[in-house]
Parts: sequence; structure tokens; C-alpha cells
Amino acid sequence: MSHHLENLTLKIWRQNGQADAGHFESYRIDSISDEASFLEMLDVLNEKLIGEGLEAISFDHDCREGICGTCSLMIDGQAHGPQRGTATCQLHMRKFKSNDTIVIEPWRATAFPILKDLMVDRAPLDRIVEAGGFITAATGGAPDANIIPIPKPVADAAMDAAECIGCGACVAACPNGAANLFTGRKGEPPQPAAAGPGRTLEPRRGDGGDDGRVLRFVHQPRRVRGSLPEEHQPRLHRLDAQGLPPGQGEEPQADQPDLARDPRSSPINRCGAAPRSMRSDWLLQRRDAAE
Amino acid sequence: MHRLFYDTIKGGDFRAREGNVHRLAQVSLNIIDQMVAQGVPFAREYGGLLDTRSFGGSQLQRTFYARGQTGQQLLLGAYQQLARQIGLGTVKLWNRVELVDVVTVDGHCAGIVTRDLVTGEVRSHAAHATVMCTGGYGNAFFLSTNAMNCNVTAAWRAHRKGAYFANPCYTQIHPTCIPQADDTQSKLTLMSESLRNDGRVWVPVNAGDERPAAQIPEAERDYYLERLYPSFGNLAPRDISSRAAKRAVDSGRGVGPLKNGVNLDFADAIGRLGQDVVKERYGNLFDMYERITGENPYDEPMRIYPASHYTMGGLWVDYELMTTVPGLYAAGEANFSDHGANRLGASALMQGLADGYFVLPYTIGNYLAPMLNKPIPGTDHPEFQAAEQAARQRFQGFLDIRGTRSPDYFHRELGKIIWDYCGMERTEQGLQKALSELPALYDEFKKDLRVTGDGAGVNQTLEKAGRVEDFFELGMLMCRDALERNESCGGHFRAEYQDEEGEAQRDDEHFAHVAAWEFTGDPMHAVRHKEELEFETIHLAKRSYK
Repeated sequence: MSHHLENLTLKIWRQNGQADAGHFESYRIDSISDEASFLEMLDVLNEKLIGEGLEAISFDHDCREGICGTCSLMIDGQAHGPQRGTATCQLHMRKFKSNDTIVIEPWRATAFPILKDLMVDRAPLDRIVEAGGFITAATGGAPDANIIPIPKPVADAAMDAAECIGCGACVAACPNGAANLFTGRKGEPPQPAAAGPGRTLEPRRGDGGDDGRVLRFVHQPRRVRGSLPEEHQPRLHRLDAQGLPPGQGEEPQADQPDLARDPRSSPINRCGAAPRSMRSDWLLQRRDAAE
Repeated sequence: MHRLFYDTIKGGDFRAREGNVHRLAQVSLNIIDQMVAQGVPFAREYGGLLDTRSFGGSQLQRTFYARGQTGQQLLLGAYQQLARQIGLGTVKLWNRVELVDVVTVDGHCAGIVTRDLVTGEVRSHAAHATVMCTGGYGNAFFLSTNAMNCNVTAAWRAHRKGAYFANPCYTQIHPTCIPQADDTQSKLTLMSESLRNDGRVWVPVNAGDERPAAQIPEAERDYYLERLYPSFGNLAPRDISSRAAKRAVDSGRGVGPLKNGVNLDFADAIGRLGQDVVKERYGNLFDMYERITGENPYDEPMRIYPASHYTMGGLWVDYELMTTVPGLYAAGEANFSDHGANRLGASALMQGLADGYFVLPYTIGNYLAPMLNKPIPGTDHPEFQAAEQAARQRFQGFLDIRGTRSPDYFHRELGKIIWDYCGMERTEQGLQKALSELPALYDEFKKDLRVTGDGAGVNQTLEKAGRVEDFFELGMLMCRDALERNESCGGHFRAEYQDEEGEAQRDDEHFAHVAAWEFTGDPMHAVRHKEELEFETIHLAKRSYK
């Protein structure tokens, strides 16, 4: 039978649109079934907030089966939370215990501007695909699919590459906020590097060189910065004379991430996410305790 | 091809339009070629040729697959080809934008009105022709295997503007889903039907048997599908398997903590093939099951129970997939055309791809050709302006109610009524009860809804309110349609119409037709039209899987 978790403290990032600076807010929540998924726990919280006349927390979700790649939360500093190989929607509350404090943030990445609260814009991934993540031939009258036999190991490798659900966790988890894993899945042929059936197995040009698509991929995410008017740029990236975001000059509260030291705000290192070594101590301690 | 044609007609319990199904079977041959050419990594045998497997409702091994995620791979393949066109500038994609109305001018579809889900902006789009590929309405039940954002709004808004809605009572309840675990559950998860290839479905012979599955001896297990349907066994079609599971659970023989599931047991398959082979075939599904339930299906049987999965009903379309509104087309699950009263495994993908790749490109031109060089109404036309105004008022109206209950609360209650009375088994009495409870709950919705926040930015509560309102109206139409159809066929099972063995009893004399509903301002007073079904090549026969 199911058990219930009591006295959970949720520290959730609230940000009303791109023009808002955003802040963490703490919520306490009780009697959450351990059979509930993480997102169902947020549903319960949202129902409670609406009941109190407050605005619900915005977060992206859709299939809740781990296949669509829509859900996107940093949970205790980890993309999709503590369970390996598991999307947020498949994470269940049995992985947590009563009295836990859980920190929930949106994807951290320069390329993904925050739309509201925990919801980010991942259109840059679409642009990467538009730049060449497809079979380039016009397939009008397609030949019989069995005309070219594909050895099973090649087909399996293609399938491995094709399994990427495009959620953007790799970007959020990367200290540099880079989409290398995503572009790798969409652009580079897996072994053996031969023409094959997978959409990622686009044959290379005869000279053995790349057809340039990977370079086109790489140049996509940068466009996002220019595509937003200055006033809509996430505030975290706008710095005052000391190189600190406005309002962050004072001492951060002890139990909150040190936004001023977040490398996202560094003028030199425009990383998407804080490397482990630079994350606030409270977070590391919490995670070490969990491990 | 004939076999597929025949199986689909029979699987749909002789309630699909024969011509459409024949065309579907014809073009199905091209789909796999096309998708392979577009890069979908279908499974291959060691010889390098495409592999196939059998699937629910079929005795043939003819379904191509890509691990346990064929649908997803087809979607990604199609999406990436769409992305190519976007990159080439031939298609413009509007992300995070929702249809909120359909606009007609002089009886023709002139375009749509949308609401931007990020800014709240309401905007019009004028077009020569409009195609809806907006999916089904399975989320009317609240708990379903559909994604959370699936909704009926686009189809329903088209219905309100004159498109007939056909066979809304034909809903498919899929047999292999993970049973509900508690009251806060937001959705049900489908375990791929392919599991039934190697899993055996059973419940204890005795009601109230509390022993763990492993301790129940063979003699005290009831492999009810194999017993009742020896020729199809565990691969019996979805509607039949689902009802059999419901009966097993209703008789008190359900398994699991809430006694709300049946066993899907892989012990035999693991013994016969070895754990490695089972893992290769279903590894990702087993992992998913373990993540959701915390149980290991290699050691103990999976628990499954039916859940709403697909809706065969939808916008009425002609052979060219045009609705009753000229210029407005519906494709895929959004239309009603190919599955009759029940759908077979893999054929939603087949139909969606067939409609999009092989039907619409050839039929839509017939409508467009005479419009060459003729102007169409622009978005400044008064009809567009009026529709935009109405949409803004509608969403502001939700915000202004300032009641006490959230949209989710109403959705959950609404879904429960529909599930209880218009789910796997329907009765006249139950449907009448639903038809008195639904309008009452809808009135409460209009008086007591609470939407927090405002309409100027992202507001998921507000989006939900609009969708739930449309589910209310649809729910009433579903129940009315189920009440009018005095027979049992496919997914529509009326308890009054069954034979002595509990099998569905069709009434071909009175109900071999499509019911297409016309909106008249209130779904409780929608008008029912009939399209008679004629079968030229396949003879009406009792659908038996014994």
C-alpha cells in the first residue's frame, strides 16, 4: 500500500515573464502519496495555490510517460532530478522522504529564456533541427524499403541515436550550456560511419568531409540572444558596474543559491549552468547527504 | 492488402466506411517505404530486411516497429521533415499557440483565430483551406493515456461553426495500461500493446485471493483470454480484452493493492526465451513500469487495467477528408473515418500518416483549384473581428467568474461521470443519469470556476478552463450519441445488447450507419444525421474472435 510523505519544503523558482528578475519561494506541502509522480505533487501544490487565490506555478509537461521531452525541471540542481535515465515526469515521490527540502528550478541555460516560473523556451533546439537534422533528399516516390538491406548492427546504432527525446536536459546540465549531445544525436553518424537507414546516418560527401550541417547546428543557439529585444533578455544576464546582476550585490540569504556567483552572470563565462564546483554549498551538502 | 482491409473493417465492427478503409489499406503499402526513406530506423532482421511482429486484433505478423517506440519514431521522422520545410521557408510554425475559433465566411472556412499561450494575444489567420490534425478527445475522461495537453477544443470549435461531429460515443479503452494508484493521479500510462505478444493475462480463479502471484499455483489461475478466445488468445482485440479485464476485476478477482488490475505475466516468456531476449524486446517498457510502480516485472507479473486511449469518433469528413464546412479538412484521429467502432493496433499511426502523406495532398487540390487567382477574405473581415472579440471575451469571462473551484477540479468530476456512465459499459439508465448530471455540473462550472492570474501572459490555468468547457459540451454529446445507438458495437458496449455469452450484439438493420451530429447552439439539442454504410465487398458478419 502507498505511504504518504509529510512536511516537504519546496523551494521553487518564480519568475513572472522574461522581464522579471525572479526569486525562490518556499512552499510547504503535506500528505503526498509516494505513488504520486513528481509532477502530480506539483499538481497538488497548484490546486492548493488556486484554492488560496494565488497563481499556479507554470511548468511544461505533456505526455507524462517520459517520451515527449516536454517536462524540464532542475531538481536539487540536477536536470530531471536524482533518478538516472529518468525524465521528470517519470520520477516518483517514493524517491523522496518526509521532511525533505526539494529545490526546483527551470532549465539553466542561456539559450533557453525563461517564459514563466519553471517554463523555458526551447525553440533553439527546433532551429538546430531546422538547420539540418533531417534526411536531405526529397522522398517523393520512395523506393521499396527493402531494396537496400541494412545490417542489424547499423540499424540498431541508428535507433540508439534516434532515441533522443529532445528535452534539452543535456543543455541544462552542461557547464557550458552547450547542446553538443543533442546535435550529436541529430547530426553525427554513429559507428560505422556509413550510409544507413537512420535519420542521423546522413551519408557524408564524397570527399569524406562534413557537409557543413554540424557547423550550421552550432551556430543556431546563438541567434536566440539577438532574437529577443533587450528588455526581454533574462535579467540574470544583465550586470551592473561591479559585474553583478542588479539587486544581487547584497549578501545572499544563507539557504538560497548564490546568484551573484552563478557563472551565468559572469561577463566572461556565459555558461548555462553552474559547474558543480561553483554551486552553493547547501546544494552540494544536500545532494551528498542524499547519496 | 486485402487481409488488412478485411481485418480493419471487421475490427471496426462493420461501422467504418468501406471505401475509406480500402484506400487506407492500399496506401499502407507506401507508408513504410516513405518513412524509411525519411530516416525512421525501423527494426531490421540480421539479413538486413525489415522486421515485423504481430499486434492486437491480427493473426498475421505484419506490423513494422522501432523498439517499443514506433509512434515516437514516426513522429520524430515526420517532425524532422517538417523542420526541413520550415528551414526552407515553405512552412511557418507557430509554437505555443492554440486554436480558439474557426471562422466561416459565406459558409466556407476562411481561417482560424488563435490565442498565443505566452503573451495571451488573440490573432487571426486567413487561409484558402484549413486542415485540422488536432487529435482525439480521450481526455474527456480526465484519466487517459493521452498526453496532458490533448484536448477537443479545435474539433469542438469547428463543430460549433457547422462541422458535423460523427460517432462521438466510439471511444477505445486500451487494455494494457498501468492501473490507477491513488486519487491524485493525473494520467494513466500505456504499456505498449506489443507486450501481449509474449505476456499472458490472468487473474486468480478465486475472488479475494490475497496471495502474491508467484504463490498461486497454475490450477488456480484463470488465463481468461486464452480460455474465452482460443484462436486469438492474448492478442484478442482491444475492446474485447478490455471488457474481459473489467469483468474479471468487477467479479472481485482483481490484483494489486487496490484490486484494480489483472496480471500480465512474462514468466513463461522468460522461461522460454530467456531474460535477455525479453529484455531486448521490451526492456524500455519494463524499466518504465518499474519507475512508475516500484515493482520489477522480471520478478513478478505486471499489473494492467484498461484506460481511455483513442477516440474513433471525430469530425465527419467525406472521402476527400473535408468536413461539412467547405474548405475545412480533418485528418488523423480528429476525423472519424477509418476505424468504425474500434481500432486495431498500429492503425492510428497508419491512418495519420496515410491521411497526411497520401490522401490530403491529392484531395485538397480539388477544392483549391477553382480558387486560383481569386481573393479570399482577409483577417480584417468583420467575421474575423467578431470571432477575435468573442474569444477575448470568453477568456476574460473565465477570469471574471472568481468562484472557488479550479478547472482541474471540474475536469476530474466531469471525467468521472463520463467514465462511469459512458466508459467501457453503458446502460440507458446510466446515460440518462449522466445527461442530467453533466448540465448541472456545467452550470456549476460557469458559476464557481476560479482562474487565478491574468490573461496577459502564460497562464496554464486559463488555458485549461477553455479546454474543460469544451469537454463539457462534448461529454454531453458523447452520452447522447451512446444513448441513441441502441446496439453494442466495438468500443460502444450497451449492457442491454449482449448475447448469452456476454458478447456485443450489433443491430445492422437499424444502426449500420454513421451518426453525424449538427450543432444547434446546445449539445443537449444537437440534431442527429445519418450516413448509411454500404458494404460492397465485405459481408456483414458477426465479429467473433473465438
